[in-house]
Amino acid sequence: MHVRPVERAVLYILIALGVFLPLIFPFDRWPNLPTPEVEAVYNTIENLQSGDTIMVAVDFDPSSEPELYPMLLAVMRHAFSKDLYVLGVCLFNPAGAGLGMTAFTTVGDEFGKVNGTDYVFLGYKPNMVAVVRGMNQNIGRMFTVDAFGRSTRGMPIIQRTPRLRGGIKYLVDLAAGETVRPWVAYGSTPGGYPMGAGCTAVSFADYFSFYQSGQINGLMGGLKAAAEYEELVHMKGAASAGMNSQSIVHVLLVIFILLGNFLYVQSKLAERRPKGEAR
Amino acid sequence: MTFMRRQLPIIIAFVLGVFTFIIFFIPSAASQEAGLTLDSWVAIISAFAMVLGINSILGQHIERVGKRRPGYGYSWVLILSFVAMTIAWIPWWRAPELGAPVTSYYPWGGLENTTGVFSWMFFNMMVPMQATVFSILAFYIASAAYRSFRAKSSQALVLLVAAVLVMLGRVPLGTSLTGWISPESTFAWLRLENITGWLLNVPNAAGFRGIVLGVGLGIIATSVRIIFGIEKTYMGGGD
Repeated sequence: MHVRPVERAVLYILIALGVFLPLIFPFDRWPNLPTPEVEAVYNTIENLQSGDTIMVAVDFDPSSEPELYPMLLAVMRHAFSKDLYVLGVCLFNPAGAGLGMTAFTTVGDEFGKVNGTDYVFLGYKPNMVAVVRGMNQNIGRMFTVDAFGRSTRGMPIIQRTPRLRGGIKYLVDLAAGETVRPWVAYGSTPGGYPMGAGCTAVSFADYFSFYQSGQINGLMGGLKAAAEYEELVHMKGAASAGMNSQSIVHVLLVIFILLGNFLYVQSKLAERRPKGEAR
Repeated sequence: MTFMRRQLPIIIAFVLGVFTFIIFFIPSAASQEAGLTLDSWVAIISAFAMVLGINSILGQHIERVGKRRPGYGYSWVLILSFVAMTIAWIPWWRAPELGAPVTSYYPWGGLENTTGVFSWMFFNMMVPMQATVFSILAFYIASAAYRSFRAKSSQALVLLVAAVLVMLGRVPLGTSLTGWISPESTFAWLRLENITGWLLNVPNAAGFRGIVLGVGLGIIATSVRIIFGIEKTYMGGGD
């Protein structure tokens, strides 16, 4: 069906208003109940002991930043509030390294953590499969320097956790692309550590089968999951603020679909009607 | 020269392919060390592939500008952005140690210099622009939902109903529509989040599992073909 320019303009204006108005005039109307798959990630981190180490993979770039960056901040805040050591890496896109560096230092500073001792962000390296396999055996060999260009040799957190296998208690992969699969196949399964994942809403359905099979023990999909995690850690942020917009836009999309189908059925009925009757 | 171009790559692929396959199943320290060395090599070679990629994209856009092809103005934007970010990234002066106070303005260097030009360009230009491009999808989806998502057949109707339920079941406003049904009642399965969960957990997971298994088998088959020299398209040329 052809959409007239006026119709398209109305659709776009409604979507824009649906996004902007709840952000300009925030309200707390609809409860965002945590789903079991998000609670699973939260509970795994919650049940770790102070002093345990986890790995957070920042496998997204700025195009997925609105959905996954709030998720990253929420997970980091939870980990640091539990006094966990956190290793960070980016194996998806070099642009993701900048986001990881900012998130780690921002949340690290919030909790008074020391870069290189309590956490480290190792930065980006190409060829994910080789890097994951290598990190399972020796992190310092795969990353001789961290994202800030400092040598990892003698870095306290790398001395505490020289390899992922047997070194970390949990891995969270925040993925914009096809990184969960290699982490499962070459990281968590041979390394013997549990893994959870976060992804964009679009990828949520793709990764659900991994959650169902138990290859990942938790799954956070899109902004909604980020908002749920913020609720769980009692630190509301950008994700919670965006949920009203997302709710309204989803309902608008449903209305557009129903309206489009209503017009479609109407046009089909008009085609079937005898011409004289139509007049 | 044919040996260097045709036979040698196949020999290297065969030897390293079989070697990597074997050491994967041998848990001894020596084989693990060999595997780690190979992984380091692969990471280094992949970095060179990025250089080839940069060369390719720049070459294409320089050619487009040179021949004044339609849209060559956008190619100028790409070339100038690339040059500007590369110059800004080069660490002309030594960066202060991490955590040390920045006593003087120091504009060059990568993201480690949070007050530098590169960092400013990354966070104030690249991040918002990429996020904006992705966000524009919402408008296209709205237009497509209105224009194209039609129940023209029974299969399309099933897809449409599933899509509407999942879209509503994945947002708080949607789940609040059926929030009045008690989670303990017999009809709790009618709550939107439960219907969405079932759709994702049963039909969706079944479909995707089939796809994943197919992809896995495809990867194995292609790997075997490459190792044994049957698949040669990765060498390019086609001659």
